[in-house]
Amino acid sequence: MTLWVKECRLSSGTNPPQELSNGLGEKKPVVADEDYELVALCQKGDVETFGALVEKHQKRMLNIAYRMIGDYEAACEVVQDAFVSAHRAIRKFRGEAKFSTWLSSIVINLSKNRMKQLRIQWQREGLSIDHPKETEDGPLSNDPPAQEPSVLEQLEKREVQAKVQECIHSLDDEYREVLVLRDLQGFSYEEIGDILKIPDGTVKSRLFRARDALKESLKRTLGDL
Amino acid sequence: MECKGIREKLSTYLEGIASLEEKRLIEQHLRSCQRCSTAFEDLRKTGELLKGLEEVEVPPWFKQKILSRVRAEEGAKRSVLQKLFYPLHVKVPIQAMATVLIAVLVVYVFKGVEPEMKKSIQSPAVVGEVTSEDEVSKTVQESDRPLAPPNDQTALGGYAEKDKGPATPVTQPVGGKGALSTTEESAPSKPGEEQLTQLAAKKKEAAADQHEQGVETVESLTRQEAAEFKQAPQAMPQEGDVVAFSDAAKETGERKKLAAAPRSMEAMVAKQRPIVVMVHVKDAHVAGKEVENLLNQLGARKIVRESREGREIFTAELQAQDIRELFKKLKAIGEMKEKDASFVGPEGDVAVRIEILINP
Repeated sequence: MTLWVKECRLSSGTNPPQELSNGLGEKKPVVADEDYELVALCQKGDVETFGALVEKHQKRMLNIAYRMIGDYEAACEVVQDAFVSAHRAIRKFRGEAKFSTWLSSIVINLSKNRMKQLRIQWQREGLSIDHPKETEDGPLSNDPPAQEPSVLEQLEKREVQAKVQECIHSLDDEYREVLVLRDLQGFSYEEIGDILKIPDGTVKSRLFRARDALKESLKRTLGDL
Repeated sequence: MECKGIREKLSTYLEGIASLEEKRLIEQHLRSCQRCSTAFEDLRKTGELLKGLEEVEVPPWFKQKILSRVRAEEGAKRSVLQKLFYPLHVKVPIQAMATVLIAVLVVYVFKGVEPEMKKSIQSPAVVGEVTSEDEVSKTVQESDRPLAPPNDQTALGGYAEKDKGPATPVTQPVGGKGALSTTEESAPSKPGEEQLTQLAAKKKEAAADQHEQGVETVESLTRQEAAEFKQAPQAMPQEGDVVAFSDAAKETGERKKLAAAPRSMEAMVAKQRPIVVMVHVKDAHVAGKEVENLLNQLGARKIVRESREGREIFTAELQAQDIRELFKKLKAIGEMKEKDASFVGPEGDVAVRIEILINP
């Protein structure tokens, strides 16, 4: 059987996060970070180096935000704000976690704030929370074109993806965030614990419930899986 | 293991992180339990659906937008810093600070040097030396205190006869007891030691009178007077010296010091001061002869006569009891103006200065 992590990890182009601790809930030392040198240069005020960090992490952060919010434009704004906030606070970054982890926590927090705003906005506009405002091309209009030759297959795939996104979006915030971070972005339990500031055991149990909830939601939406 | 327990482990089993024992139990249970096997299959398909979600791409210029915002924030920060520290902005405050610093420094240096400067200015006075006659002249001119009459020397006529300066019409009283200093001249006018009590009442009038004449005296104070001042400290007490040679700006202080001068000195000065009598006549020459005769009749001694600017000036010493007689006779000669005309003194010699003026 193929491992869940390998199955769920998307081809984001980034290296999978390293497991730095064997035991759950262990106190971690300052972690090794491949971004350490770039971050150190940024802390000295090198904006161009920060550009390199943006280049490296922008896509992953945008996907986190997009899966969290379900709105592409809002996700773009959130990620921009997150990078600017990160740069503003980068001198306070002490390397107690990886830069990607630290940045992801900023994106998650800003995404949650934005979702609250959007929920209020959608409620005012009479839209369902589970059916966010779609663009002319649908919620996944910015997805790259599919490789399948068949237009029908393309449309079918798009439709399935949109429904999966709807199901993800219907989850509670605490389920959605662990699901996005673990099953879509491949963060380790430890990293997710760092990002969400929760123990690893909580991450594990929350992830089990999130997957179960998503499964039930997909069964209701798609019928038989 | 119960189905519930198995289903909770399915998630970790699917990820491949279940222990070997858990893995064996789960696989055994899934083979025997259709519901749990279906649940596991649904969970696996859910994972596949998540895997099938395509990633969204970043929009064009995404990085540039972020960096432009970052640079804008950096620029705002720098502009604040620049306002505080950028050389062009700092330059003006630095210049202002430097100017203030220099000004403060100059004040401190000046304050430090000032006492020494004062010392150097005062030092000649302390030793009783007047370096130039200009200083003496200035001291007298700037003084607003009553000055002694120009022909004060009358009182010292006995001394003046010896040292009379040929260059000036004024008789110079030098020698003997010592010359008068400016201080001495500013002291209250008294004919003798015995007149001290009466003088106090007449002080103001005498001072005013002397001041009028003192203006004339200023011009007549010459080289001889300067020399006189030089010798004065030898004869005068130290207090008087200091006062006498201080600059004009300290005249008020001098007067206070004078008031506190020893009484013996005051008496000595008073003794030397003459009674000044002004007689207005029609013919000064004739009146002069009459006055000379009068003085001779009264047994005056040290009679000095001089003519100046149409005036006849006599200085002489008389017995105190003859003064009243003298005044009486003078009134007969012409119109007499004398503040001390009512003077009645005890016995002793009194210096008299008679000025005969032509009636206007």
